[in-house]
This record gives sequence, structure tokens and C-alpha cells, in this order.
Amino acid sequence: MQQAGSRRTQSGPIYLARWLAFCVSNAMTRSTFHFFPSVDNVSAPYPVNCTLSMFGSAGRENSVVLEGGRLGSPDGVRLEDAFPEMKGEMSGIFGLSVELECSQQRMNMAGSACVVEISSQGITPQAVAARGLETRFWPKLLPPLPGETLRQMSAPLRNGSAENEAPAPMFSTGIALKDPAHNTSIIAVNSGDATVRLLCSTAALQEGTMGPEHEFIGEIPARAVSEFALGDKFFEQGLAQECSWGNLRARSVDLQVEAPALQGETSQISELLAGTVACYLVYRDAGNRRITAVTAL
Amino acid sequence: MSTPSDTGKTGTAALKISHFWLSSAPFFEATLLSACQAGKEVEPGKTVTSSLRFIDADGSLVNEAQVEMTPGGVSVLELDSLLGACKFESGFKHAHLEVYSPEGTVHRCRIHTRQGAALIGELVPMSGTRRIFFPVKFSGGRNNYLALVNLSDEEAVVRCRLFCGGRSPEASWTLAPRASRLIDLSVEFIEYFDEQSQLPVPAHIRLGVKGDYTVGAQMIEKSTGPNDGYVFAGLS
Repeated sequence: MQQAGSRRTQSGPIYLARWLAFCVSNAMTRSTFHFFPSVDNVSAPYPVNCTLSMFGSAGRENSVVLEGGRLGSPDGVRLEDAFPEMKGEMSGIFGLSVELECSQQRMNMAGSACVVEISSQGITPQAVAARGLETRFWPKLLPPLPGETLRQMSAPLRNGSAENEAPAPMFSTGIALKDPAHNTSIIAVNSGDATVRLLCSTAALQEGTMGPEHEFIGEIPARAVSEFALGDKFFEQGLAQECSWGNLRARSVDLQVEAPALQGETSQISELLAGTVACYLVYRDAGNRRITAVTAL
Repeated sequence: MSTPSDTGKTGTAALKISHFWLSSAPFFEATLLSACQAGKEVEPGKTVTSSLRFIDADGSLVNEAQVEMTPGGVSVLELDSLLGACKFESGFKHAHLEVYSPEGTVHRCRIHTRQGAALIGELVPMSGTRRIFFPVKFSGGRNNYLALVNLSDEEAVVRCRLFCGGRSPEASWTLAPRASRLIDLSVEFIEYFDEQSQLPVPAHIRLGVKGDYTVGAQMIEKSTGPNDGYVFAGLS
């Protein structure tokens, strides 16, 4: 797949599928982005452009357009090839914003999907190592941009495809684990221009029924990615159970975000945040901290 | 085949269905984790119930169970003992798990071996109008298992196209109604990579069906782990 320049060209797309993900780049870890542009009931290989924007490392940002994609043909790119700065000076966790558009007008990209792959290598001598180990996840699909007329694209989805479903809450419920194999953290990606606060709801008895109370998790600056480790204190309110494979601590995770600096009607702010913030539960190996699974919320 | 909503087990409330593909030891063992939204309003002392149905590889119902959760709570169920009646297919004992649950609940599947653990997500649905894809990597010591589950009451034919470099061979498989199949892509497409090579060959597969039915798919990767054991990973 060819890459065209580092600036996105505005070719006037009508329908746009957008995802907000994160990726990891350091000496031991590399990330690859896979995508599948698809339109239901259309098999013609119309040209597709995929725009990747990376942000979150000391204010550095970059954007590339991957040209040469075709409807119905899955493709992928190593992110260090798309963003050569990842090969050297930059390391850490980055935000990754993805836009997929078809040059053919009036194409509903709702059948498209993408996957982020995080590869870890050589962590332990016995490891899996020569071959490395990959963790793959479906990124969070964002609702359409303001003015987007294709209402069918408005549903955030479990499996990362732009499926037509009823509108869903901003974040779905997740399950945090702490067991002999896993520790859990939350990675929050903020592609917006305002700092946001992340809250976790817990169930509490309120006026005769069970309702949520909110626990502060942390703040995410504008155009940044933050990881919040969930420690023993977080799991005090959760489940403790002995399983055949060891002791498990687990807790339901219901996240909300608020942006104190934003002014306007609540519904407008919610709509804005839904289009600029994504949260993930990240399960890391308790021994070597390698990411073993990621779920989008 | 009757469902929990048919039998009235869960009343008249709208139920969503989550589909998972599972295996039992010695392939890997699975644990179902279920949680209920903290904000879901229920009376104090009441719980939210999910109904589980285990369907084996030939489409037969082999077991049923229920899990209960409180809002904001988590329920854990180890599944190996519930898969004992499943038949072998492709050398493995595996099953399709249907979870019927109210809105506001979520389910995850934790899989583990002695060497490691991971979480896998729900089956990805494909239909006559919707194609799906998975990234894969081929190399020695690594197997890519494609689990297919026919979610319909009629026979389904799944078509798979591998995109590997400039090549794009095809394969197809037939699934009986409600049946499951486990396909080792590393065997199915063995001529397209060097099975002795330690350098992974990246590829993609595209899956689709022709007809008015739905098939679910999950990709499970098995790699050599520490002490000659295996570790598994799936898409989540």
C-alpha cells in the first residue's frame, strides 16, 4: 500500500468511518494497524483512503494518508513504517485516530472494520519469543462527525465494525481482573482540545434502589493518552473468588467522562466527548507486564 | 430448538444474545466473566440473571446454566465441567456458548493454559451482506485456528480468501445447522508459507457467506510458550 504525504487531502468524502485507538512503541513492542474497507452488498473494488493520525507524545503529532486501498481487500501497515519517528526517538503509548473513506460517493462504510496488533518480543528467555506474541483488539468506533447524515453509522460497537445498531451509552461496561495471570489498567485516549476527567461508577443504595456513585480515576490532558493502573484499592469493592487456577479479584467498570472546561448544553458536550474520547481495559501479564488482551469500552 | 425467551425463563424483558466459541482442556480452559452495569436500576436484594446454553460441534444442546449478578457486580463461572458432554471435532472438544441476558450486562471469556491466559471476545458475525476479516501471522510453531459457528437453522457455506503477499487463494467449508467447526489455517494454507521459518508471514483472511443466514467467527492463535507449553491469544 502506498503512502501519500503526511497531510490529509480533503477530497470531499460524504461517508466516513472513524475509530479512536491507541498503539504502543518501544524497544520491545511494535504496533501494526490492519483495516478492512467494506460496503455491504458491494463487491466492486473502489479506491479507499485510510487516514492515520498519531498523537500523545510530548505534543508531537503526525498524520499520513494510506492510498491504494480497495473496497473488499484487507490491508495493514506497521505503524513504524507509517510514522518513521516511532523507530527511534519516540516511545510509549500513543493515540491513533483512524478515518476510512471511499472515493466513490454515497458508499455506506458501515461494513468496515479495523484491528490494532501489538507485538511483544523477547521478554523472557523462554518466551515465545523468537516468534513474538501478538495481542489484537477491535478499536472503538466513533459516532459520525457533526453534520454527518448517515445515521446508520452512529452506533459504537462491540467488535469494531461499523454495524447498524441502536445508539448506545458512551462507554459499555467492562470487567477488570486481578489474578495470578493478569493486572488490569485503563487506557484513555483524548483526541479533543479540552482536558477531561475520568470517573468510574459503582453501585450504591440510593433512595430504595441501587444506583451509581462516581469514583475519580484521573485526568487526561487534551490530545493525550493516559494509562491508569487499577490497584488493590480499586478491587476492594469487587468480587473475590477462589478459582481452580488461583484467586481472582474482579470488578465491573462503568466509566464516564466530564470536561469541566467545556461550556454548553449537556447533550452537546456529551456528543462532543463521545466523538473525541475512547477508553480501553488493558490486561497485562502479571509477570512481565506484556499486554495480553485489550477490550474497548 | 427452544430458547430461554421461548420458555419464559427470563420473563418478557428484551434479551440480547452473546455468542462465544469455547474449548475444554487440554486445548485451553475457559471461564465466563459476567458483569452488570452499575447504573442499572433493580430493587435492593434482586439480581440480574443470564441464561447460558452450550451447543456442541454438531449443533446439539449439551448443557444449560444460569448466572446471577447484582448491579455493579461480577459473576464468575468456570466452564470446563459444563463441556464434558461435548463431542470431539477436529480432535478437540469444543462448543458454542449462547448467553441470553438483559441489556446492561456484559460477558467476557477468559482462556488459560498452564503457561498463560488471555481474554477473547464474542464471535464476529458475518452474513450474506456482511463480510468480515481477521489478520493472521504464519510461522513455524504457531497455529491459527479459525472457529466457525453456524448461528442459523440451515446449512451454511463459508468462503474464505487468504490475502498473503500477492496471492489470494480461496477455501470454503460447509457447516450443518447450528454446528461449529475448527479450522487450522496453518494447515489449510500450508503451501503459502514456510512452516519451518521463524520469520512470521503476515496475512489477512476475508470471510463471507452466500445466503440469508449468519455465521459467527473467532480467530484463536496458538504459540509455543515457556517449557514447551502453549499460549493462546484471541481477538478481543
